[in-house]
Amino acid sequence: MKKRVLQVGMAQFAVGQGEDVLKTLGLGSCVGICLYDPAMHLGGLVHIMLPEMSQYQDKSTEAKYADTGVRLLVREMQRIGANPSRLRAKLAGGAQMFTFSGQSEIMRIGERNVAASHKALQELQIPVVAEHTGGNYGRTIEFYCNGGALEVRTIGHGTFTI
Amino acid sequence: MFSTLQIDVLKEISNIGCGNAATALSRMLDKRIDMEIPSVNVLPLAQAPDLLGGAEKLVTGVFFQALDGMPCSILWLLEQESVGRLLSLLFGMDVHSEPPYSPLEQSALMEVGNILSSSYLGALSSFTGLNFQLSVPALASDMAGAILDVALMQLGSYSNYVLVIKNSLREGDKSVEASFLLIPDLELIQKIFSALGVAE
Repeated sequence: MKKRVLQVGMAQFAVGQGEDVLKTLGLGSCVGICLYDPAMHLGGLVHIMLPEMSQYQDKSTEAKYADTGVRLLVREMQRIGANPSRLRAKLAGGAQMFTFSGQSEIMRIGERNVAASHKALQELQIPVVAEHTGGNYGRTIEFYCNGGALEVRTIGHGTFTI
Repeated sequence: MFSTLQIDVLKEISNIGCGNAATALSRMLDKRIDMEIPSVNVLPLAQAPDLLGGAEKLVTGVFFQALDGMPCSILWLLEQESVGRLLSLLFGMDVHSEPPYSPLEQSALMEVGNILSSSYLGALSSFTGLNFQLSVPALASDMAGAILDVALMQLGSYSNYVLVIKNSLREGDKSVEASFLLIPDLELIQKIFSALGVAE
């Protein structure tokens, strides 16, 4: 199969197979939730912006929220042959880009996005095997469907493969 | 999303706001500062990073949150070259800094952001009678996508559009390009349009 690089924008998701690479540029407080089924060489990435759909007015985009985004991705991967009990998760993002004195809820959104992602994955009993979250810097990520390696690039904070 | 008339009105207010800002900066620096007529764009959220040269481009953002429940925030964005030119202008000497900027440089950038956003919101207030109050500024230099996240995320909970005002400041042959993102929720933008008599 020919290698594809699928770019995943805000509140979007993608599923790839074999040599496909799923990519998201410049994650700040958003979280990139990556799932893979090692046996099927299937990978999925959802770029969530907010923790839980129930707390917001816009119910039109499942991929925008951690809870509905995880469920959407699992469903889509299952549809093309992934086994939910084999799925593993990796997370990146959830930074706090700006610091104000007297932190308001809205500024701690990165932290809340990461917590909500963990919660949603735990509910589906999907283990989080690696994560690169928090801090105060942006991340570009590339997720390799074959093997499930997640490459994290930053400006001035190094490059990591988790 | 918005009519041509509505965009024209926003453009005119931006123009006045930017004019006020140029005057304030001129006074502060005791130099003549010119400002070009800004361009105003209404963009879908997902396209906002493209306007800044892509999600991975290194930019500096000064971010303000509205206080007192006014659902609006402001993000002022500068490309790296413009940060250098602006700092040179402010300090009266050639500055070739790279992030992380020194505390003095950061505070100078935030102060200019402060002047620009209060001038702009001042113009908006006097036209609409609505009262805007902003938080103190916060600054970050990083990937455009990551910086926009914070602002767009607030917007993302309401709508999928952002108002981008591009302007440029000039002193002699030094020109500083910056983008100014006004991020109101839908209800507020409707309020602004009704106050201005251009509601749908």
